[in-house]
Amino acid sequence: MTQEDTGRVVETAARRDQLWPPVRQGLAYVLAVSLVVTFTVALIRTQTVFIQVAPNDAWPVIVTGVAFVAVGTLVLLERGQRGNGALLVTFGVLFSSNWISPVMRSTPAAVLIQFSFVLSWLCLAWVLLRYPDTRIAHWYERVFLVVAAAWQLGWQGLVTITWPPRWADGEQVAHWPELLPSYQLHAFALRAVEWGNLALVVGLIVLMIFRARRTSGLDRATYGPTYVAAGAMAIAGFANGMSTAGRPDLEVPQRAPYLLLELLALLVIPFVLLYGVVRRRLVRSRVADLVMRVNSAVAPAEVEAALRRTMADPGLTVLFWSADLDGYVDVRGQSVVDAPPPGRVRYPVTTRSGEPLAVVHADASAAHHHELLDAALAASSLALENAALHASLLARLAEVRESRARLAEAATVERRRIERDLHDGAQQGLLALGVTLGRAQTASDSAATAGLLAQARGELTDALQQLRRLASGLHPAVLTQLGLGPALEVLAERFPIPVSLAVPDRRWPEPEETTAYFVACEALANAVKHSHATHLRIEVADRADRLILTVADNGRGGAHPVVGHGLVGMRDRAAALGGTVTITSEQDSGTLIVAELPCV
Amino acid sequence: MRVAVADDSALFRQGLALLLGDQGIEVTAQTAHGQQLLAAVNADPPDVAILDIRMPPTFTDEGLATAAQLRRFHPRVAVLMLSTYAETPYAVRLLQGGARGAGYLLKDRVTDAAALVDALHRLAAGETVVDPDIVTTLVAQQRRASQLDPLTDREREVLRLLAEGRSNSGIGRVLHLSPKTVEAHVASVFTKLGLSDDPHDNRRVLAVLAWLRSTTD
Repeated sequence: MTQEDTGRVVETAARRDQLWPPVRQGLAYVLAVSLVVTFTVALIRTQTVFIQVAPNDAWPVIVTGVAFVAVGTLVLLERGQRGNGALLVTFGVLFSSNWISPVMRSTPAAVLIQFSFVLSWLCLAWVLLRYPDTRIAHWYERVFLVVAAAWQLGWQGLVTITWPPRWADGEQVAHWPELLPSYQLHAFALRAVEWGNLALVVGLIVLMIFRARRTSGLDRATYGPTYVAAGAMAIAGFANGMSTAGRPDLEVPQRAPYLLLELLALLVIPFVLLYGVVRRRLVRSRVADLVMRVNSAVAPAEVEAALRRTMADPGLTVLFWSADLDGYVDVRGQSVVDAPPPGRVRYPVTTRSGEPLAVVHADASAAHHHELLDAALAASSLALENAALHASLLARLAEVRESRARLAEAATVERRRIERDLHDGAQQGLLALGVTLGRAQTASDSAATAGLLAQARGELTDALQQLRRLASGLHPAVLTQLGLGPALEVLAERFPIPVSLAVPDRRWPEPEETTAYFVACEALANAVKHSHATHLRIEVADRADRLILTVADNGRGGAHPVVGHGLVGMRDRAAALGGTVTITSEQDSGTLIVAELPCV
Repeated sequence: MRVAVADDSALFRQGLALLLGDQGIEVTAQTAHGQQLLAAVNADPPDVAILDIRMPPTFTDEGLATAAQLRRFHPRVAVLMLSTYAETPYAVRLLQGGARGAGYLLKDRVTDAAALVDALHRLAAGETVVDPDIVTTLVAQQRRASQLDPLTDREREVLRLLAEGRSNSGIGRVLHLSPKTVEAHVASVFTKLGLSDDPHDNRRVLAVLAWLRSTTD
């Protein structure tokens, strides 16, 4: 789909937004249907003689004329197709009225009808050369049409002025320009028109082949059949023309096989045009809806959802290329492998400059609706580009979050390791020393030694206490071994302000318990330093899927954590686990700290 | 008096065995972890089994699990947890498995051989032992401070010794008081704290500890 087409689709979509156009469109359809019906009735009524004389010729002509008028009207109602529709309608009218000349003898219209044959073919050639565009694309096509028109109209004019109708049946026709009555000239001009028509038909064959070869993709699928049918019709027309050229003496029955062939080929054209119209409407309405949705879509998931709806494929997935990660990410920004699951087909999308942009894994049936997918992807290319950037950002964000979680986890692991080293190394060593001191005291027999040993024992006990506090501060063993509840209990026992606890007797994953514990530590430290609280309350909700810790004090409030503040650090730590820490601290109404940590 | 010892620190374990030997206590087995201790107790039940909390193979609360198994399969063998952790929940977890003949002491106590031997004797006699440091923390905590205000200094001493798991006679010995006086003090403490007195020493310890640890206001 070209840029212009996309623009047209957007416009159509915008117009649909207004309230009145559907009403106007409905009226237009009613008018069109009544015009076609009127035309058909009028045609049949004026054709009575023709139908009686040669019904085998008349009915195909009527059907063809009506079909062209009907499809032409349909095309006419399409946006930007007014000219082409009008040309098709004109062809339908001229083509069928060409044959009614015998009954219109007495009117001046008969003169014009002399031209309807050449005019109708010129109209058809014109519309076939430009459809679905509004003008003929190539200079040689224009030259061809202009030359054909000049040739045909010129010689047809000569045919008219050299031949008074009374030569046929002795009846006078009103306003007939009998300027140059000459049988020789008339016959010559007639042959010139016949040969001109043949040349027109041959030219059409060649140009249609060119057109069919030029178009590709969606256009080829939509308009290709029209060009092929037009070419076929032109071939049939050529055959018909060759069979009659220079032999005006041929009777109608002798011409019939070729004529019927040409009429049948001609009759195919309105149907392939109708096919194109229907197909274009279906694709357009889907793509138009998509454009509406995609224009408002920012998040990758929204773009994916829009494409899913357009393709009627709820399992469709879009993978976005992330240059940072040098790989594909999904709509949530998570790295994924570009391997479509069974039954899905891979459609790569590139930027205008050919860089990878995204990959769509669509249902295998999308192969039958290739053009729609192409159109949908083209229409959403800008949204896809935005979404790819968005997804790439999400991926980066996820990476930062993960690395932050890793850092927090590494810090915890390191503290635990030091705590264990202290326990297993220094503490055990000092305790072995304690055993020896205990034995020495029993063994000593002098009072002086006993006094010194008692002093050493006291100093050792102090050292052990300090070491214990240090180890516990680094990472309380009770947290790992017995859980958050006992750890908070120990915290509360040793806190200088009364702390009441409501913690369910259960375990959560270790990273969440550790984070909640240190959030509580910071909250308590904060309370004792700034709040003037006389009482604190720590609560943990009894839920398995998330750990919700609440620390409330009855202090003066007004706490505003700034960067570098312990609670801000805790917030980072919680964020690393995908959780939050919220601090509510109104002046004079205490401080409420809530940590919410999802446990996956 | 016969004891079995389990501790993964060989240095500490061997020192402890020597210390106990000095005090005339027979060490029936020295093991590095809980399963070996259970096997040793099965083979030759001692009066008291001494063990650490953190031992192989998990290096977490292995000792507590081993203690629970000992209580279950050898209810007549007292259990003394010698731990580096001064946190109340460990002691409570141990005592919840049965306070009779159960004790929790910090390893620091090894510097005082006499206190350690005293604890072993109390345990062998079916008493409960809680480390004084842990009791001190519990009694000193702020959330109980206001409720302890009405207690006299002497009554606080009695409360402390109650929490350590001492019997009335034990309290009398430590404070050099007559059994009658101790009884009066204990009754007063229980009344002031709103606790109903339990004549059973082990249950009394749990009641006092539960009151001290109570987290509600």
